[in-house]
Amino acid sequence: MDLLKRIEAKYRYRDPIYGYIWLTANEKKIIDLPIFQRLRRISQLALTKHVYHSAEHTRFGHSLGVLQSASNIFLAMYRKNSAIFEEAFDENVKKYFKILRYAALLHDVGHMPFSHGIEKSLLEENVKHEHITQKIIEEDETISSLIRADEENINPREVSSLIIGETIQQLNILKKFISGELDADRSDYLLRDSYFCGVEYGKYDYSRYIHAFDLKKMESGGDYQIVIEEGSIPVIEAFLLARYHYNAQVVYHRTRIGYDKSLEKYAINLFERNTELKQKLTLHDFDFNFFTWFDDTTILSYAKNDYQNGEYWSKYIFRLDHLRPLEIVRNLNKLNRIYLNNIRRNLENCGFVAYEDFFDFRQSKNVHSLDEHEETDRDTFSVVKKSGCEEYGNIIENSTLLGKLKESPLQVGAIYVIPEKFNNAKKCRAEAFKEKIRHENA
Amino acid sequence: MATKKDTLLCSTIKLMRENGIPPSKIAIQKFIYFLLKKGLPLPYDFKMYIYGPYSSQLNFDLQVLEFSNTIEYQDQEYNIIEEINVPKKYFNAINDNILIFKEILPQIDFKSFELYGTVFYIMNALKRFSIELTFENIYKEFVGYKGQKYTQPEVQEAFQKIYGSNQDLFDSVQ
Repeated sequence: MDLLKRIEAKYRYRDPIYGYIWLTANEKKIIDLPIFQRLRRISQLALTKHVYHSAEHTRFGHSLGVLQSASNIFLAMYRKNSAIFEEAFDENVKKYFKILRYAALLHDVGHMPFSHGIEKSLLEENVKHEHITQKIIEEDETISSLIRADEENINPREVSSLIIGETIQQLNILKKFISGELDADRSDYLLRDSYFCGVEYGKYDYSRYIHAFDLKKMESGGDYQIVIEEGSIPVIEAFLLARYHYNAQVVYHRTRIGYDKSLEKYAINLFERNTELKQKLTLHDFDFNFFTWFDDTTILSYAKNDYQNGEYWSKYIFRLDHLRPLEIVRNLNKLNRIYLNNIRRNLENCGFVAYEDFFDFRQSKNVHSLDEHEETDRDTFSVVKKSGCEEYGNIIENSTLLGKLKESPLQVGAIYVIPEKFNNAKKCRAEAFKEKIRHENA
Repeated sequence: MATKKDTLLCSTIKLMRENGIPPSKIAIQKFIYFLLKKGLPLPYDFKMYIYGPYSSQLNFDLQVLEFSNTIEYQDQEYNIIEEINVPKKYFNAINDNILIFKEILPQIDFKSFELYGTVFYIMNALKRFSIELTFENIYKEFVGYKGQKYTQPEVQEAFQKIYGSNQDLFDSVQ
């Protein structure tokens, strides 16, 4: 019997990416909880909507999407070889499938307002939203009791361990579905964000992608591993290329980076003035009720008040202005790094204050962490060949493109200036540019 | 060094070297995991990978430090480029625990890092799930990950040595 039928996923939600998302009765009860409904008020992409105006989607749709995508991948693998799944999960595939679904559904329940935008300035040192998610899954009475009420006798810790922290060996197989190089989280947000931004960059052949994987027991050791079929390498390449272009055009969009910086700055100021907000979100004294009603609208409410009282940074939240990119480079070679450092130096010499008048942004990001060198212990996927007998190679060995992508990280370096001082800043850039030309010609 | 995290990472690399432990990629991953579980304030989440507990965020942060010319990777080891002073507040926490872990390991080599790192991860996982910390339970998990790659006596020795030096971690009530 089909696994979806076995778990009785008979409730459906319309979805622009998957058509329908299928849910069990218990999952539907979780979704109806106030603490989960809160995700309707957490924007997926913070202030990206100031650049791509339709990017108004929320963590709610994404969470349901990850549940569906994780299920699709799991089911595709299970249908290929149900026997190995039964072996790997002690004839209790139904239970582990449900654990995966709960984890996928709840993986972002602990997100802060505006998603990643303000997390650092709000949470305690070394605490991330995943820790909050873990706390909610294990300790929020409404969610944990619903998980425990599942007929499969599921412990909330089994669910949270797929998201953060150590887990036991059988659950470790499932972890890769939620957070890995080729996981359901990425597979959903690439499509969803592209759809709502109105761009083509994050799109890839999803229907083919979910059939790219298999579960194998490795001959070298006891571990069950997710492997990639040789014939599926092109769709994996397409997926990672989609990720590359999505990052380049959406995440590292020149204006969006500026909005991220101004949101960050506003948030730091806000929480310095309102320390009680941070106190209610410590792991030790976490206030679940407060958290349930702490969302984008809370921050917007503060920002409206602040704007009316003349606070400087709040205007950026409402797109009444934006930081001006003084210089952007897409290659962080030595010459460009020196160039940006010189711009920065010139600005400081002219009395500009870092992180008040100007912002320095540098990022170098590999599009994947699949690596051919075993010593690095990276997220290595083995490839199954279909040539009469099965052989295992590494995915990098089987793809020239992925090897080349590894050598070409996505790089952005930028200096942003507040609009009031932009004209004065331009001459600082001009002087540094002359120095750069001199270096190039030397 | 802009952040406390960078300072702690570089301090660990420096003290590993001073204590005769070549800071290879796998060594840093396993030592940082150990230091984290002993209370060093670092923001890393470790997952079980092919050769034991591994943090992709840690790997990324090392790349960033390399990129900013704070550290370099040469001959499969990391070196500090900019001289750093290990903060007094964290010196003992890092140095003493590096020595504890070094003492536990039979050799400073890839095999020991894999074996002891994996056993240590499993012990922490069982603790998280309130599963009794018996050798039987640990070995069952270990074989699930590694098959017959290591002998039962090897795994038992790893468990006994790790537990013996770190009872404070494993005897507290869950």
